[in-house]
Amino acid sequence: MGENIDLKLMDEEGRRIDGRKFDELRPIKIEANVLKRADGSAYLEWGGNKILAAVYGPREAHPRHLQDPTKARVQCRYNMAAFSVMDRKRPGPDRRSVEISKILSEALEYVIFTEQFPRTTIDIFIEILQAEAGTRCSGLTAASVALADAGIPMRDLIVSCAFGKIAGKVVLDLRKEEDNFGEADVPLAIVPRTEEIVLLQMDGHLTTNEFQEGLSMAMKACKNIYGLQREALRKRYSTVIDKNEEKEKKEEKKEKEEVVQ
Amino acid sequence: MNKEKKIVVPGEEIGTTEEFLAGEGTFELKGSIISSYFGELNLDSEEMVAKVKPINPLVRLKVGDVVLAHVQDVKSSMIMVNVIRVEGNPRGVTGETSASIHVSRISEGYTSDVWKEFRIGDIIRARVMQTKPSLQLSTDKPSLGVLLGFCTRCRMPLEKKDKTLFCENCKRNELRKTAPDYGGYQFRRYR
Repeated sequence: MGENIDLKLMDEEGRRIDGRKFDELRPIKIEANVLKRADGSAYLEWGGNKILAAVYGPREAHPRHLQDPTKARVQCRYNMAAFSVMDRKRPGPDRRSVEISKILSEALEYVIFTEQFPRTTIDIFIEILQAEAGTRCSGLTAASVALADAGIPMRDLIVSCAFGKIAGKVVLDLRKEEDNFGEADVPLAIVPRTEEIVLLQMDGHLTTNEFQEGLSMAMKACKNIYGLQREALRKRYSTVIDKNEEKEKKEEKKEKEEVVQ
Repeated sequence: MNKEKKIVVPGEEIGTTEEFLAGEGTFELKGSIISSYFGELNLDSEEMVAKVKPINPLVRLKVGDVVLAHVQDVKSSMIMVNVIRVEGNPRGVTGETSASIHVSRISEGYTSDVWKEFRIGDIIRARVMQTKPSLQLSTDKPSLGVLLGFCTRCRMPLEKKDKTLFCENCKRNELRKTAPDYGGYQFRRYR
């Protein structure tokens, strides 16, 4: 971060490398219920990020000494695929992904009614298939859709989005070059209804004013992403209904055939 | 008709505490009622209760549920089992899964020897009798009992022959309290 390089992150008209304005998000696509075996799942594309989130549980915690008699454990695993970045990423947990797993677990635990499920675990798996800066935000956004899809009671969804500073200007949702050669990167996650902050990290330097500016920008962007999350869940519901209707029709047909016979 | 139903997501405000009582799947916060599930909203205008029915509900065991279980241990007074699924529901069970079946609830009649009814490793169908403070099951109905048993000597699946079970490998007979559909149960649909 902050290295001098002959890369113009922003042109004279205030356009970024990919043509976005300072407060523009990369395109986002969310789909719920994509994995059959998981209790709940979601697939998310956010610019060049491609992420799968799967939720299992609440199920009995093993080994037993990890059970908490007062509440459920929220165990999140953030994992980057070997092919997710340009150079091959050495598979398995490393210092970075262990830390991200921890902060994502803590963010998600805040919205789940864990006290309703003593002695259980809720396992969340976030797999980064393709990475292009902002994977922890994308992963968290996908995980909260997967949790809702799994029918787990929650206070609210969690929405996440990053802001940062490039070429001396506060901008929203950094992409790879901006993250590498920009001046600051601040991932942020909020509970949209109450605007409580459940995740906040900062890499680089910002003045108080710049931070405030970025914060309000990211809050606004999170509300838009929240809309996309809800849309994804609604879409999932309509497919459930279509499937049920098909089933009913098939059963009716069967019954009719039986009557004829 | 279904399509007219309102869908809510966790955190969505349903109404205020002046309008409704917070029912299942909702919670109260600062005078408003908020959904805790992703599901169908049900505003009961007679009882004045707001409820949310989850689309993908969790599976919690309740008295009367018919479950599939795996025998972990056989003792003279009871057997210990692990509940695998509620029959007909592909989703795993939330909460405690280790259960016991007391001798008095194993068969319709008197059980003199538990080892003639169940053996370790058997997959059985049972009914939930009690969930608190501990999970208790029973198999004292003709429809309940072993769905698949394994030879105690070679662990091969046993085949049903007349009233006993037979191991093709060891040419031995074994006794079990079998369910009527022993051997023909489709386990695959739970995968």
